Amino acid sequence: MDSTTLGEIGRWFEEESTALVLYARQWLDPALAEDAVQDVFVSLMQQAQPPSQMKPWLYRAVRHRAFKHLRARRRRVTREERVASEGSPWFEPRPDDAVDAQQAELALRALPAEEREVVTLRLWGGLTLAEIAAVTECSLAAVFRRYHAALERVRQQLGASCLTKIN
Amino acid sequence: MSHEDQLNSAAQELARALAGLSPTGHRLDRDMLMFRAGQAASRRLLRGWQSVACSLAVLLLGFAWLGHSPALVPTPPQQAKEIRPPVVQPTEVEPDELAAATASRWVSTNLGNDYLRLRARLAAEGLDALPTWETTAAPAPIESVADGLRQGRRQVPRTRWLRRTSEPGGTEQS
Repeated sequence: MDSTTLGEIGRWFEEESTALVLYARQWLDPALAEDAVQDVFVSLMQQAQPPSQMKPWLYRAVRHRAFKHLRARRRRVTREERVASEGSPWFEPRPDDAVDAQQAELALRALPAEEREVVTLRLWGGLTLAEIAAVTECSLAAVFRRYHAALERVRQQLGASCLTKIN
Repeated sequence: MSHEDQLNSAAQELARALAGLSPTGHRLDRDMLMFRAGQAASRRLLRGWQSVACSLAVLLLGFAWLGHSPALVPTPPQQAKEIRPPVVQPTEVEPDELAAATASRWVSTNLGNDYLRLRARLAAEGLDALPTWETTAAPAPIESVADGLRQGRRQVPRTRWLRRTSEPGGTEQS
């Protein structure tokens, strides 16, 4: 792999690593999520040719890697690890946020896993619904249905406080 | 019309608000990533060399095992048996009788394996390999042969395949 491609991969790392770690954290604790993302970039550098569609490839690779870690660690996860994982926030609260970060995280955690995955890929990964369908290996209609349902659930979960903050 | 346009305005507004949240930072570092990639590449290279070294070791062991197996004892090359032409002892017989007797004896004794050896030597050395007739008796001069024929001591050699006719164009006599 030449230096131009390595530079391009470095740029993708700078731009997407945060969203990729957030995506992996749906299934893994923070440390394992970071390991999964790092493994994906290392394997990307070992490829002779970079993938044609880099962004969907990265999310699909992180998804596979996260499932692999999850299967390996499922039996070994202790209660302390689960608590530590839940204690680490998903979002950094900022004063100019339109919604409360903590409440948004709670609402997202309450979602079914497949709906949460679609929302994460769309809102923080920036993938189109067609790309999400390719990553999650389901139909476009199913992706849209999950996305719409997830937003409805979050809106109901956040309630009036969220709506007033938005407005 | 995309699917997202089918969302109501409240859902679109909520989506924009959620997208404004910034995910928590991570401890991943670009330099560390490059270091890990180099480590993985060197590990792969090392694994390749290890497999090559293992293959060579197996080959060497195989050759060593072959070297320790009992080898065939090389047999010394057999010396070519020198063929000496038969030495004919001088006798008091006539030269043509002597030649016929010698030839018949040589053929009867040497036509087997000796003939094959002679043929091989002829192929290798040429006509010089032909055996010579070593006789001490000198050939009879032509005058003595003619006198012998005239006085009846010699007979003209007759061959079986020659036929004598009584007169030209006459009937054959066997």
